[in-house]
Amino acid sequence: MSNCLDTGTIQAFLDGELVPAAASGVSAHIAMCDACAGQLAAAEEESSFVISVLEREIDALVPTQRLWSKINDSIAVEKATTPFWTKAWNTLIASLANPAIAVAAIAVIALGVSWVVFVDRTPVAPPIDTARSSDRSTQITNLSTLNPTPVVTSAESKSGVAVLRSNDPKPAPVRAENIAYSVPMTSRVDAATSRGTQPDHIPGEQSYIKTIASLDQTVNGQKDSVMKPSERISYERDMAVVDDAIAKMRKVVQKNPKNESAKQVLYTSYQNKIDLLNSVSQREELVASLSR
Amino acid sequence: MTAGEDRMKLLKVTTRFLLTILVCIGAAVLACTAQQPKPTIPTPPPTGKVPAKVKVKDKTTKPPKVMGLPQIEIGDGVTSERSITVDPKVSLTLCITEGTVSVNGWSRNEVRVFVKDGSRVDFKALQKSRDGNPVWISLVGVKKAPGGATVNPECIAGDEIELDVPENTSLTMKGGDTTTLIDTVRRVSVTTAGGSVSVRNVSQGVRATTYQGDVVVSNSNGPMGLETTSGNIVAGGISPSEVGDAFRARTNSGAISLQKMDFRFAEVNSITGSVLFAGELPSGGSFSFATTNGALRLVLPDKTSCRVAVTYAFGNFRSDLPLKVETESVSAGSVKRVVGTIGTPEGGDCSLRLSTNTGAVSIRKLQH
Repeated sequence: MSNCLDTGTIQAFLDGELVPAAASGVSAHIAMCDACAGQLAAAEEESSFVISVLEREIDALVPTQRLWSKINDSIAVEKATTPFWTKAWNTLIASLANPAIAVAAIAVIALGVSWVVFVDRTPVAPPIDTARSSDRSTQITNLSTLNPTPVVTSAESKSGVAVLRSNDPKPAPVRAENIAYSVPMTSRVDAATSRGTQPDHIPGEQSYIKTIASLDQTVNGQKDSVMKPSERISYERDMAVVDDAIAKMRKVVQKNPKNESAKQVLYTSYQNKIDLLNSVSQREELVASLSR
Repeated sequence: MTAGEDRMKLLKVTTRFLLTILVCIGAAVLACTAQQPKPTIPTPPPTGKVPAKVKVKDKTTKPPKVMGLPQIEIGDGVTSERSITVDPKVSLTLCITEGTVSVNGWSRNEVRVFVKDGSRVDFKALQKSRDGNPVWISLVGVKKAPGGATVNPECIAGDEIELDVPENTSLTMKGGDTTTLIDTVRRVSVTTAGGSVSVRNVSQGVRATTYQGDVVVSNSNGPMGLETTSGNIVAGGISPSEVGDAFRARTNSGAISLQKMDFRFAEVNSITGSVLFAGELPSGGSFSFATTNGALRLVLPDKTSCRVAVTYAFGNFRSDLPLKVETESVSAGSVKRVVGTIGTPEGGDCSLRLSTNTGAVSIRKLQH
């Protein structure tokens, strides 16, 4: 039969690759042509054989999908069990792979380093050396002898005429070089307060101490440039007197927290210290304004 | 992608990173440079200058020396005199870096300045009245800038600086190391870094602050604030010009001596120094005298009537005037406090607070 179908058309029919009209034509022809029906049967047999042979290979793809699923599951489990910092570090490393983010990070680090090195030069108060503070307090006590305290003796009071007399008529001379200028004021207060048995602050005292500490940091760098040596000695003596008064009053208040008079004297002493520190910075401002 | 392409890509990325670091370092260096103080560029002379008579007497080549105050105006070593017609109630602003300053009030509506061996000076009118006379003037220096322009430094200096001003002048002065004497003006506000300040015959208030030196005020009225960091304060013949005017005196290191004071409110404080008050305490007044390390001595007339509160820690208290004790806490080793009344209620009533940490407190009779 000259109109018989060729092998390609039969194979295309088997594979379902023909358009519906062609497929129906092939189907009608095969119904009437025994030769073509025989070719179709042979082709079907060959296809089934090939499929049976390739079935192992086709099934081999299934384990690959399962493997992907297993990998995904493992990733999920690992994500759940990884610590936060490891995740963050991994994210950071991954982000740095992006050049733009890496450049931005370097710029921020460089600016931060330049800020620390060139801008933030605030002097840092040295750590408190209790032993040295104790020595300092001894020196301060010696300094206070520059202005001996007048007292009235009881015998003189009895006579009705009070004669003011110094405790020490010949105070020991104090040399300026004995003054340890480098000791910050806060260390004196803290040392004075640390000598007490209770480190607790009485109500309202904390604000004074904070104010004094901040002022002290400001003033420490200005004292040498603003004050002449004689003024400096006077300043240190005044500061020693105030510190001494603070230390004594703290002890009294700690012994009897209800002693309002002692509290008042303590607060006044703190205020005196603030005024002393302020006088240095105010003078520095004045001198600076003169040089404009 | 070949291995060569990979290497090129890596090289490009590395180059970008290195360039970025270089740019950041450059930015940091620029930031550091910006922190350096720039040289001060003098400002051009402001408008509103009033022509003033000028008379240069002498010229010397030796400028006055300034110690302890860096980068301040030290003057040209010129002796000159200037004057300007002003409003009777003129406000005068001064900045003197060094020298002996003398301000005297006179009955003319004119400000005259005489500078010996110091800066060239000029007046700058900061505000004028309706009739055209300056009501606020400033004494400024005159300098030639390197480019030829004239600049006016705010502060001047001289061996001697004398000012004659109208009696109703309000004077504001700041100074470096100056010895200042002010006489017969309406109001004074003076702040100096060092040197004594003497003020007298001021009618409406004194504010005097020096950081090294004495403050002396006499025969003056109005609210007063006297302060010295290291020096004594002496005031006498002072009284308020209006009801409510207060007197405040404070020294860190020095004595305070007050007499013939008619203020009804006074706050006196010394850290290391004694406080002496002699005179009457007006009825209805409130007075506080305190020192941290020093004696408090009050000399009061017999008729004084006050409620007294005395606080002292290490010292003693005695009163020659009869004291009726109300409460007393004088246990050893603690802060002592005595509250009582001196005089009689009929004699008036005032509040007197005396406080010392270390020192004696005494009230004595005023001997007529």
